[in-house]
Amino acid sequence: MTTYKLAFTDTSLTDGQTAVWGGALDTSMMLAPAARLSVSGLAAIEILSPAVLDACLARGENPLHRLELARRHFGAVPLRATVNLLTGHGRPGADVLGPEVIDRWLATLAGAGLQQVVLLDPLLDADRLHAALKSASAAGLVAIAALPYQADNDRPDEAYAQLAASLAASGAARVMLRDESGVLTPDRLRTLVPALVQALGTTPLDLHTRCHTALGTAVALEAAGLGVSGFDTALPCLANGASLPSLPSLLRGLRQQVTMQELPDHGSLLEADAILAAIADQEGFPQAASWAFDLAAYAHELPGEVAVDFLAALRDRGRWAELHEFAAECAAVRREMGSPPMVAPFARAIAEQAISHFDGDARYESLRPVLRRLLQGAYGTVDGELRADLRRRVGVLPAAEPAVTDVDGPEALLAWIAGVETSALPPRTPRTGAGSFGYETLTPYESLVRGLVTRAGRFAVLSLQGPGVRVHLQQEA
Amino acid sequence: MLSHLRSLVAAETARTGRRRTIDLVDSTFRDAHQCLWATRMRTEHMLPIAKQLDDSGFHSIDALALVGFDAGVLFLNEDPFERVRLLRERITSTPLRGAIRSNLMRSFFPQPDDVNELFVERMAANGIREFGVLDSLHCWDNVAPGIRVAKRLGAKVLVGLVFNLAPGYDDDFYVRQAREVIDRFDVDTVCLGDAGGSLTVERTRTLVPALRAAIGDKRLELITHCLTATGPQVALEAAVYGADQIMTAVDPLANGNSLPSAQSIARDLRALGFDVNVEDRLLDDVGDYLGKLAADLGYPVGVPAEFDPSLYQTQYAGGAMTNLEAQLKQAGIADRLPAVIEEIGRVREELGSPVMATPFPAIVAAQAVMNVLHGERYSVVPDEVKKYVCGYYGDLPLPIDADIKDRVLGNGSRDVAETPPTLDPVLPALRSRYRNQSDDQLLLRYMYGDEKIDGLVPVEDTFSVQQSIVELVAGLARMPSKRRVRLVAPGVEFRANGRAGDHD
Repeated sequence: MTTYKLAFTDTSLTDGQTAVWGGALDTSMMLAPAARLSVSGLAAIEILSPAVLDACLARGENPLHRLELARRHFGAVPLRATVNLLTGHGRPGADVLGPEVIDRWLATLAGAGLQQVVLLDPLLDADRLHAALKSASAAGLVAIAALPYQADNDRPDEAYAQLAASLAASGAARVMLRDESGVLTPDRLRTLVPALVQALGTTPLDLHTRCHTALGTAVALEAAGLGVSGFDTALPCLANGASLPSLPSLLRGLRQQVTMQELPDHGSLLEADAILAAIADQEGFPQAASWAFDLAAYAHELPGEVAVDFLAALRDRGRWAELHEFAAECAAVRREMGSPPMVAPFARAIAEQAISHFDGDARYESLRPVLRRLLQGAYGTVDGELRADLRRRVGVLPAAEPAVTDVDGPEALLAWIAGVETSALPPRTPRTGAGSFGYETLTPYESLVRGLVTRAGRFAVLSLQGPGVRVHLQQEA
Repeated sequence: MLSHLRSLVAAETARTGRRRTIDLVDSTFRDAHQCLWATRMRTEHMLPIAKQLDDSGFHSIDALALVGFDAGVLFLNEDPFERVRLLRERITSTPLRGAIRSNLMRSFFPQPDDVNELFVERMAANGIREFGVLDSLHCWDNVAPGIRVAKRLGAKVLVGLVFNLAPGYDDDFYVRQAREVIDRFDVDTVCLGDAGGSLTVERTRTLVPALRAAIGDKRLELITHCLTATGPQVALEAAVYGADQIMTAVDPLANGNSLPSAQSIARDLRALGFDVNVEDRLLDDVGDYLGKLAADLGYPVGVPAEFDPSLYQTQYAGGAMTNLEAQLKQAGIADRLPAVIEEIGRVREELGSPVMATPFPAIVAAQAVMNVLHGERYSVVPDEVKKYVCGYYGDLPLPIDADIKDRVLGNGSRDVAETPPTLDPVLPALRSRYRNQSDDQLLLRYMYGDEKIDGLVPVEDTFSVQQSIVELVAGLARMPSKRRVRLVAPGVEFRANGRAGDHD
């Protein structure tokens, strides 16, 4: 048995809840497990991701306020964010977080209490990443560079190794092999991880994988034996399926194969999980579920919540039996778009384009906006060939772009990154104060009464009878 | 993974000049509910979809094993032979498969040849066209008489080699077994059966090609279960590496402790470049019915499992695990399950790592439960454990720990002789006792006793998941007396009082 010291980062509050709850974890729910999670021996807890940022704004929550609250409630455990250097909203001139924007944004996040950042440039543009990694270090953040894994058009080990080495040379404190589509396999890791570890030298290698094919835990277990030192995981009620491996399950498996030092505390993790599970129960959020192994995942490579949404769309259409045809169309669209990695902002756009073709629309009769901009070169250079006729059709980017020098101050930055007006941003410090951010646990009876009272105004009489309960609400004349 | 497997299939197709067809064997009526519902699917639940399954294009349809016999008679009050007959009336083009479990019938006690032979004969007479033969000790003398009868009657014979993750059970062991059953019995199909879902992808890649090479033009089937979530991958890789047919269940009675899903395996096999002759649309219809049936009965559907490497240690089969859980719950010691599971692993190794297939999971579990309950290990030894150690079930696969053997022999019942008795024929006595009974009745009465068999209720083909209220009323109408009928269910209250003077 080998002795390892492994680092585990909880991503339940970002990718986990985005995949399993459709991003419904609001700020009060995020704080609910803080006391348990912060003492469970995790290496870090992820608080922000691009999807969480969008979901917060849609709910009228300020993501920076969320981060500040997290800093106050999560004790000494380092907080992490994933920042994508590409945006998907398509506001002119705001497709890429260039050197100036990323520098200010990372400083803003650090000021709000962040300690670690995963920098994801889907197209691995060396200049952009170099600048971002430098800014992260300057802001005092541990800079983790993401190296997206793709099953289709898989690079040889040497190519991944070379990329990893250049990320480390650019200033990454850690490099993360990032498999948002859950398509890594134990087989693939057996040559890939040793090659990466060797190329990285003293720079640690992290792994972010998912459980689309039910192999996520097996992949993580294999990776631990091969030299990966950091793992993204989730609590059981937000794990598996399109989400990440469950940390308690992973620990159980690891105990069989390695001796670990400083294990995360099983009890605290399960207590935190119970708190989140109770929220799911009260709010009617979906339960986490494992998915069955399926080869189609290796063709469509849809990541996280994109897989959840589009596989559900296929079932809703009664066309589940044609899963492989849909997967093949996703792969075809991706190829025709120069084979970008299946992460934001490309994955959802590719899936939307594919399903419109699958639904019978003439291929590329209409074109998803993100794909249009990809063809126009707004995001940079892709590895593969773009379809020439489509490139001609969309032409080049309009010349006039707003200058980023106008983007000043945290709120303006946030609005720029999220693609909204500054005036539309929720206030960073709510008038009601931080005290209102405790999640209120209700008994089923209280939930019922609250629901009834909320709706009672619409009815003259509202009467409910059930085993052991009788509620009668009547409007006064 | 997809592109790699595709390239292997494409290379084979190019090499042989022929695109391979992979057949699916359906076990929705046999293994799926054995794994998920403790074998409680009733015959009338099966009849409404029997025709659709027949039309779905399966290579064969697994109808019944002895576990199904036991559950049918003991818990469902149904005649298992009647199930075979009724299925045979509706499943006319796909061969029905019946399983033969060593020389055992009801319970774990080996039976003499004459009654085993009659059993095979009657299964065939009622409609079984293919026999799946299993002996967990791989002691082929135990099953030779039954196989001879099956072949004489023109039925196909499949012999199952039971996968076991234990010392001595290497690829060569299975190759030797496969050669022996082909040499001795000229079987039609060799099946690698992985009851506990402990066959890994890596092992599949060596074991399946080894068997493929050993069995020439005989067919190779793979059965695996999804307890560790890798079942479907194992099934697909087995096809790529040489299996001709895969046992599946119709989703939603697939996955979890059950078999891989027919729909999903068919899709994936086609995506790999194989031909698969099943009708997906019909399978989806059957799946819809099964989902409604599960909801109607309050039984679980198969839920995909999380990968769990600890299952590669205990290897406790799906059906056996469900039964064990139920038994501990019934005994009020459900909370001891983790301790029992751990003890099962220990006992199994001490008893020479028998294959965890019927009846050995139950034998090992019985000893494990005793060890957990009584503190001092092997202070109480169930009879079956002593019989196993003394060779009642055949030669043992691996030697037993000497100290454990002493304790088993010392603490086991004195009534169990250390030398297994020879088994005398039982049919002459049975025939004179049941002069006016059919052979089916004779077998059932021998296995389960007169009282149980007298209480069996004929199956009525009126079940439907669409019309449960209609069916309820129809069922009430068939009752001989309608006095004092009161039925309360969520949302329904029904009272019927027969007129005074009606019979009770």
